[in-house]
Amino acid sequence: MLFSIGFGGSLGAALRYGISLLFQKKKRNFPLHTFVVNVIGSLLLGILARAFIVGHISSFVWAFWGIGFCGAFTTFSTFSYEVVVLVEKKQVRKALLYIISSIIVSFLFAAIGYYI
Amino acid sequence: MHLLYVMLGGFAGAISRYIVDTLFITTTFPVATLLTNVAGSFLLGVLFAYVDKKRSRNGIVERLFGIGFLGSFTTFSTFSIDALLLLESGQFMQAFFYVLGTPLLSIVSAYIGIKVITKRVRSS
Repeated sequence: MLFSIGFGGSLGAALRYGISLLFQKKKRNFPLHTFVVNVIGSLLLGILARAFIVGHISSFVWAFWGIGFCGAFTTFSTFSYEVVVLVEKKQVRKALLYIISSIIVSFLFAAIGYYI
Repeated sequence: MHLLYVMLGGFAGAISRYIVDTLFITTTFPVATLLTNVAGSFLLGVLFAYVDKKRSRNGIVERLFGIGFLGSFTTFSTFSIDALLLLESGQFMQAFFYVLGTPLLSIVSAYIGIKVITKRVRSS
C-alpha cells in the first residue's frame, strides 16, 4: 500500500517537473504550468474518487493513481510560493487572478470528473 | 539525474502525506490536507528563499526537497475533492472555511517562510 502511494507519487512529481520544464522556455509571468497540472490533476482525481467510491477500482489502483500520482502531480506549496513571488513583483492583480482562477477552475474540473 | 532526485523526493512526499492523513482519519473536516498544505508551503518558502540567497538555485536540494518532496507532500487535487465532498454532504460552512482558509493560510505561511530566511541571511 505504502509503496503504491510512493511509486505513484514519484511518477506524479516527475511528470509535474517535466511539464514545468516545457513551459519554462517561454517567458511568462503567469505560472501557467502549475495552473495546468493542478486543473488536470483535479479532473483526474475527480474521476478516480467516483470510481473508487462506487467500487470500480481497487484500493491499490486508488493508492497509486489517486493518493500517489494525483496527490503528487498537483501541488499547493509551489502555488503558494508563486503567489508570494507575484505579490513581491507588485503584480497583485495577477496574483489575485492566479489564486481565484486556480481554485475555481480546479474545483470545477474535479466536479466534472466526479459527476460524469 | 535531476529527474531521479525529483522522483525520490516525490516518493517520500506522497508517503508522508498519506501518513499525516491516517492520523486524522476520524474527523469530517479535512484537517490533514489543510495541515500538509500549510506546513509544506511554509517549508517551500524557507527552502526556496534559502537557495536563492545562497545562489544555488537548480541544485540537488531544490529538486529533492522542494520540487520532489514538498511538491508531492502538498496537493491541490485533494483540496478540490475535499471541498466537493464537503459540499456534497451539505456541510456548507465547513466547505466555505476550508476553501477560504487553505489558500489564505498557505500563502501567508509561504510568505513567513521566505521572510524568516531573507532576514536571517541578510543580518548574518
